[in-house]
Amino acid sequence: MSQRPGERKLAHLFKPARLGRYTAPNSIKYGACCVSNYNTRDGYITPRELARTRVIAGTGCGLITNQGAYPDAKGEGKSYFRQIALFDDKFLPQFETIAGYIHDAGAIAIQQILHAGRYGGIDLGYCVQPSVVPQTLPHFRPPREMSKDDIRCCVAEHVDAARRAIRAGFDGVEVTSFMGYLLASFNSKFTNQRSDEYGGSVENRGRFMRELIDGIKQALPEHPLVVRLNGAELMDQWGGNSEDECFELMKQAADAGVDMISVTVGWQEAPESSIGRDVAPGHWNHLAARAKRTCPNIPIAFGNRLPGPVMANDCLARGEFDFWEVCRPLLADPELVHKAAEDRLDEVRRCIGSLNCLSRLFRDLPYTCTMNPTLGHEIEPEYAIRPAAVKKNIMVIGAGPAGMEYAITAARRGHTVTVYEKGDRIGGSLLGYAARDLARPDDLQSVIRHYEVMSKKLGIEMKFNTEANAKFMRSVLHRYDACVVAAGARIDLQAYAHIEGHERLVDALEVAAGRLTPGRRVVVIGGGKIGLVVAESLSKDGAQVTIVESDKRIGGDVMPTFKWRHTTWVEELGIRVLTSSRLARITADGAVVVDAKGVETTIAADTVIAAAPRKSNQELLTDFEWMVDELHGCGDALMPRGMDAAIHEGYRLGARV
Amino acid sequence: MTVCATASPQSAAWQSVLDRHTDLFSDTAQGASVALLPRFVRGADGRQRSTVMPVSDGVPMLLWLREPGAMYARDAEFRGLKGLVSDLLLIAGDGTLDAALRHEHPFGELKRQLRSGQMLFMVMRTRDELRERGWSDFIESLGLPFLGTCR
Repeated sequence: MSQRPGERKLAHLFKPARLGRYTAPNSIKYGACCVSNYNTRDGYITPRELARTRVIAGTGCGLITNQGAYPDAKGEGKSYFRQIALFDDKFLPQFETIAGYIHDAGAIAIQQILHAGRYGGIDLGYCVQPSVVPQTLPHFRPPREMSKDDIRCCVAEHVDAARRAIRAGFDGVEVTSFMGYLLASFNSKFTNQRSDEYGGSVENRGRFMRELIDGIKQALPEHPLVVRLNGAELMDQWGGNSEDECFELMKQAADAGVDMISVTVGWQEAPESSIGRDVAPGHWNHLAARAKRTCPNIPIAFGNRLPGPVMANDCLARGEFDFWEVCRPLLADPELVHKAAEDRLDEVRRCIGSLNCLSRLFRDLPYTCTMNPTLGHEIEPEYAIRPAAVKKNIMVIGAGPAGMEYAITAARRGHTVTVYEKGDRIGGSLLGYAARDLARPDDLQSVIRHYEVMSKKLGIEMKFNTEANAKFMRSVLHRYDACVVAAGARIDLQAYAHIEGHERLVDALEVAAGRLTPGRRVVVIGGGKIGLVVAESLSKDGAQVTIVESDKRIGGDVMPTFKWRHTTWVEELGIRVLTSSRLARITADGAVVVDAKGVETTIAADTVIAAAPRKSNQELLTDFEWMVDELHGCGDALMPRGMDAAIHEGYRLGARV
Repeated sequence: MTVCATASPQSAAWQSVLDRHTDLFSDTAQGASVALLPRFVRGADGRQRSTVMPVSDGVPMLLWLREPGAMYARDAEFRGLKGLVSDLLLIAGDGTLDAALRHEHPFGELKRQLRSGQMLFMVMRTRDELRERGWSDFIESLGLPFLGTCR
């Protein structure tokens, strides 16, 4: 078979690899990193899920793991609101369909069985654990200790679910002994305080896992069994397992007969970050390499915070692991593997680690992706890119994420698109904020690079340094069939017009963009995401910064999984925060703020920056109303929100107009 | 769980901290409480053991208890997790509570200790119960996600 150019470059990634008696066409495993929450409350797989799974099957991965199904009728193992179930034959038809999709794509099909234990019982008033160790996160249920009968029953339920998966056509199964789920909670000293043969030594703590592995292997000796295990719990400072103990448990799993170990990092409740963009790509690779050294005869799969195929190929070349386990990057771009194979990596939409997917899961919502507006909407024809029935000449005002997402989507449908941007490059206000992101500027800047690449490839005409206004519009009258206003939002300085000294206020966007350099003592009005990013970057550069926020807490508009990061950075940088406070006046010496009790505080400052409130740049929608046939708005120009809404709205409009 | 009638120097010191932060507890329900427990104690045999393990003897602990009008610091005795009726549990490593008390911003220091693992936070009630009993502000103020989060 002829090789595509990227397959030669990334030869290790695209090399066939063995799992039990099966050979995968390449060394890429689609990991069941997230439960989608697309299914019914009682565990049935929905058409929405099937449509999504069809996309997963087509990702080009050689080994595909279907998302975790809970194995028990009571639902003690159920951890997510709309998680799929596999405790009864009544669920089989949809599993058969999914196994068929995966096989049709030429991949090996693995079904994950997910009993969440400590994080389970979502519909019940309790969860099950080895011992009664209270939760550290309020989201989860109060614990109940499992009896030995419960353990035996749980093993039997896993074996039944595994048999059922094989009957549905899957080639193998995967069990979950990581992240704090049931088996992991038995493995860990933190949650296992039993005094019977399932507690105490690491040998005893791993007994339940070994019995479960043994049960499944005895029932299905011909079918590969994968176990997901932590290389590090990141719970050791709370009395959890050390890394050495984690690897001892891997050896136990290997000796018990598993066919693959999937190495992961961290528990859900771990105080340390493991997969956000504040963790450098490759940070955890050493854990996979150690797993390979510990269990050299068993395939090792790994992918935590390893988002790029080039790095994965290098790791495979060095023998650090055998399968690149990837999921979140494929949520962001389901074409990632094909683009790698075709040497089109510059076109990849990178996962930027905003963890929108997880933020929504913990609010019992279906997962979505900041970078992929179609995720979860695969079944809806309205989200498909179809050739436009009428090819139009379209102008877009603004080259930020909303405008560019619209532009590339419309261009893919066959429209002729011209983007007018008042700045000198693509990015809009994201340019300034991305550069100041404390987590990983390159991730956010990759969004801009993606639009730069795609606008060129799709032949979108970019007109920079062009401010769109009514006069300009008159100069291009009748040239365009449609106009999309994606001019973003601005800081509403007028909101401070009644405040004494308001003329001294400066705009956060000007500071973020580097057009204005503040003094050494800075007050930032507004502790939302814009204020935080500006305050943190200035503080990092040595400024003495105070944030004034009218709400009770800062970060009100920040993605939940990033809120704690911002509060940590604020503390680490020593940024002073005054909440429930508002700006009263600005003097030559600084800012005077007043708190909820009416107490005034003077903060010495050279610069007072307004980072809130924001106001949409939607005036053009009124100005252009009688100047063009079709007029649309999208993104922050309609209502100030953020990149997520900008990208999604830009896409939806592009797919429709 | 037994609440003692007398006040130790530590509970008196925490009382002044609680009095300075009434806003954090303004929504808490009558009887709501936080138990503050040392992570390890020495048994009669002189050996150190974890207090979270099943205990037979009482272990001294601090209690922040919502009573009419305010949050009060009380001395109490811990007799195991099953007998604990508090809403929240803070398990403190050696010296951490004293370090927090010495700090200019005790709650800020508690937050840092939680993040660095010197202190462990546990919930003894469901999320909805905690919300109803007015703990949302306090939990968020410690930098803990009231809703779950995967990091």
